Amino acid sequence: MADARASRRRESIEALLLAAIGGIGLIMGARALRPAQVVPARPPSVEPPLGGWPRIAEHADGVVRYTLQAKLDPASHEIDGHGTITLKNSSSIALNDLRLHLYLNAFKNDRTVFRRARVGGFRGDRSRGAGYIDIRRLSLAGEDLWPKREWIDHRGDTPQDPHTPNTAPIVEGAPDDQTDVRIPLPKPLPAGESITLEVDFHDRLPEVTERTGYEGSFHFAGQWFPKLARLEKDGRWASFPFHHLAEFYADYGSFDVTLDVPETFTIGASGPVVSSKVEAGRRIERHVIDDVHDFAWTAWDRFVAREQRIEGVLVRFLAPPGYGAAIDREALAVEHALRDKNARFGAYPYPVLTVVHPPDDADEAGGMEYPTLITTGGPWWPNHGLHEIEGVTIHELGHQWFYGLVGTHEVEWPAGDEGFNSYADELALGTLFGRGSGVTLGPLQLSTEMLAVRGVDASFDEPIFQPAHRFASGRSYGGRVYGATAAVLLTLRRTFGAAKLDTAMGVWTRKFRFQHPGPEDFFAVLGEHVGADCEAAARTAFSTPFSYDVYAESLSSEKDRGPVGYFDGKDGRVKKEPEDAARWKSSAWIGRRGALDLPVDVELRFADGSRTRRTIRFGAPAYAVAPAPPMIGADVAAIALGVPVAADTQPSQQSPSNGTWYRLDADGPTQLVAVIVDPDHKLLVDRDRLDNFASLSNGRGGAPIARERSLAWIGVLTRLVGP
Amino acid sequence: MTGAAHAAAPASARRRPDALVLVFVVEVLIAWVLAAPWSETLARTVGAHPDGDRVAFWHPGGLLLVDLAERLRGVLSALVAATSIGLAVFALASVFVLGAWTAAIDDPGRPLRAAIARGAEVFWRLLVLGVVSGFAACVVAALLGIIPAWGISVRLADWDPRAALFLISLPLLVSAVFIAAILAAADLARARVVRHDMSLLAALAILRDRRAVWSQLVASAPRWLASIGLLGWGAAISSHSLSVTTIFLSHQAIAFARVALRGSVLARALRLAGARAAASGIE
Ligand SMILES: [Zn+2]
Repeated sequence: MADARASRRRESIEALLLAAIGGIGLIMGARALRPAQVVPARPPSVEPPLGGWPRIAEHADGVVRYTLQAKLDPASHEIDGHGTITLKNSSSIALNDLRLHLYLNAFKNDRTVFRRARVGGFRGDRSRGAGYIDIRRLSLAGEDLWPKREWIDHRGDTPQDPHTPNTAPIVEGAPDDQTDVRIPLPKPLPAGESITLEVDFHDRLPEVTERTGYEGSFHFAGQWFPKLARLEKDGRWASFPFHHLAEFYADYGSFDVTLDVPETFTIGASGPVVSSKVEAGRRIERHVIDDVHDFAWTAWDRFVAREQRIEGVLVRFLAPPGYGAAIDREALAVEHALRDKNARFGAYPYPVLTVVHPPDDADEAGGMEYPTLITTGGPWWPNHGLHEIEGVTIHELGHQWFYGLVGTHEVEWPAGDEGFNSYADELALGTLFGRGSGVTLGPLQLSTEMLAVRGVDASFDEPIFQPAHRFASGRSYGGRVYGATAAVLLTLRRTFGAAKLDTAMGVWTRKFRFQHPGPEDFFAVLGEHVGADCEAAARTAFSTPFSYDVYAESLSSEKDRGPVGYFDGKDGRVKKEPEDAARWKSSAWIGRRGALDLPVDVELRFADGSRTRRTIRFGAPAYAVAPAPPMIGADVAAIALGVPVAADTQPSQQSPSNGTWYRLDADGPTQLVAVIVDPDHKLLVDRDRLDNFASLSNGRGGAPIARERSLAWIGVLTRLVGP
Repeated sequence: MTGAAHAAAPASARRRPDALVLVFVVEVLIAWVLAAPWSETLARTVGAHPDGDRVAFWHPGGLLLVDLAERLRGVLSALVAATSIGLAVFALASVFVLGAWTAAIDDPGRPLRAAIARGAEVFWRLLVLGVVSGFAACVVAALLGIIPAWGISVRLADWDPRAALFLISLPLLVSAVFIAAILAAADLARARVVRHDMSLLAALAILRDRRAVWSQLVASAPRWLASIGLLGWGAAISSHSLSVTTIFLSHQAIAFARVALRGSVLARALRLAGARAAASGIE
């Protein structure tokens, strides 16, 4: 009996011990994968140019003024709107017509430019319920101009206002598109004069698709009002239909919008609330904001709101119930990003920011930017090593500069906002998460630069700086505009100097605040603040169908045994035997494909463990027939081992290179065993990094880590299915 | 075998180190064969880097991984297919190994050769048992776990996600307990087949003996927990920058310990099968 009791006790202890081993193991495993605690970094220090930063405009030259009232019926998902729209003719000539964008009509039927565009896979589910905007009245001094409207179908040479030359058709035939409309004026509007139109309009929101619409009682009103096209300085209207891949472009101005929703709904909208009341079961909120070029709002009866002052900005977070941890992550990202972007790109000028986290089933409304209002998205749980919530928050906040404050043409030059902003993301994410900016799982650190790198060889080598609708597909657009732009700018920053690039981007965002600059303005800033060769590289990378690859082709290293063989001298023929001289003749062959001319770092490794680095330049490719270089020349540049060699950045006529290859000679007392091109991964535009190294052992060492890990992991599987 | 012999030398995994080592060696060999295409492919792509393949996996930022994924895009599905087929074949063969191993544990005095012969004898019964219990586990997982959890999650779409997760996890937990019971009962049935040479139906009669299933479950649970927890130890070890040899030895030690834990669970089942059988006079 006592024996049985003893054995039972022994078994209990054993079970406890085993459970403890298991429990501790689970905790240790979880800890090994647990992401590090992150805190907002201090603002980066960015060097102003000689003479200081350009003056930052305090206000935009207001061209438009919207005073609107909007009443939401959440049951029918309709908005009744009315109010006034004022336009100042800021161009140099008299205007004969107006142009309005009725973006909501992109979702009216399946014949619109938006829905006809063959973009392959891209955000914007076409099967979702339709929506539209109707203008019921558009009157000028009592006269309704709406009956005289002319829809512009962008098919070609339809008679147009002489000030608005036709752009090439961007999709074949779209007669049913009603996103771009021309309103002839009864009499010309002289330069510098203003007119005020009275407008009544009615929206039926689509099911949430591509940034706007409803899902249940959640409503997001983006592009919900008749919006004046941007009036260029020369009197042309920036005319375009709403294309699936494109975004928007408009003049700066002021918005005074009164929103009217059921009392139980919470509102989020651009600009600060100036008055708020509840009346007869309705919540009525007035938002007023200047110096912006758009206005969006949302209303939902299930929002949980949190307000927090961050870096002097009153930030309002709206999220579904239970998303407190997501708000925490978004607040941290906003704090970090405001510090980062204020320092880099000039201070955020508005008093408020609204961060909307749409419900899960309305995620198409997430990840979008409007002035002082951004939408995010992502799961509700706390930081788990995947940084998508921080990534999307930082990205959308960055748009306050790249599209908001620098009002580039998002249709003609999508890289100017999405691409530049993706570059800014990398800088901010890098200081927040280090090299694990995308994923941090234990020792695995994946940078969001992976996306930039993928963008470089996404689909086609299309020029990056081209209109959104010119891209072959949504995939190519996404890869080139977001990924490749960031990859090019990061490459320029790493090869031509981080400080200089930071200065140039700082000048760009400060000088052109509240302006509408274009690509040529950008190249000029690069040329002035970084240098002519950086500007040239940027022009090649952005404006030509570039493709770029550097690689280590091979290396050789042989003992130099002195003169060997028969030599004819004064005293007749002498036979020289090999000596056992302790010198090596070594060379590495480096290749380049593509025309991009960048400084390329090369690391040479020697048998005695020493390493040396050189920076080489291939120059412009010399594919054309050129006089052959002398067969023997100053082509052998021995590298003094162990002594840092000054960068030979200018390939000379005698350089053993013709623009496609470069031979690096490294003769010395020790054998050259390996060469690594671009060891620090500066060249994000490089299409393949697996061809960037070569070694004498040529992989005979195998892949020990791969061998160990694959054995361990497959061992787990054999145990699973094993006896 | 007589009941007296069993009583004299109770079933114990520890008393059959030869069988334990053999099972471990078989598993490692199979894993090594199945892992070879993976490590060989990686050696060909990143092996020439002077810093070794560490650079491909653990270089902060992971840029080489992008190029690696691109390079291996066509190869990856072939590797996965080869590994899957290999694992399926091994799963079948392991039924025989299981029978032999159980027979060896059953009687510490039984020579290995005899145990292997016994493994061959009971192969078909254990195979059917494995298939039946696996199928039963899947049915329970679907009926008690996944379908109710899905049904709840659809109805809770508007709930606070934390409360919804709690409710959704309830049926999953309940089904996990039932699946564990099925696995425990399957081990008991295996033990009865091997020890008493029972027919499948007779062996499955153990399902009526809820106390036996329960005590097998109670005995197995800490061993299963330890076995899963050891994977956490393995992950923790590889997250430190130790030498490849040290990590290799630690991982293989863990793999060996997990095989030993399985042996201990089998020995438990055999002891229970014996005791119960004697009591109810089935023998
Ligand atoms: Zn964006």
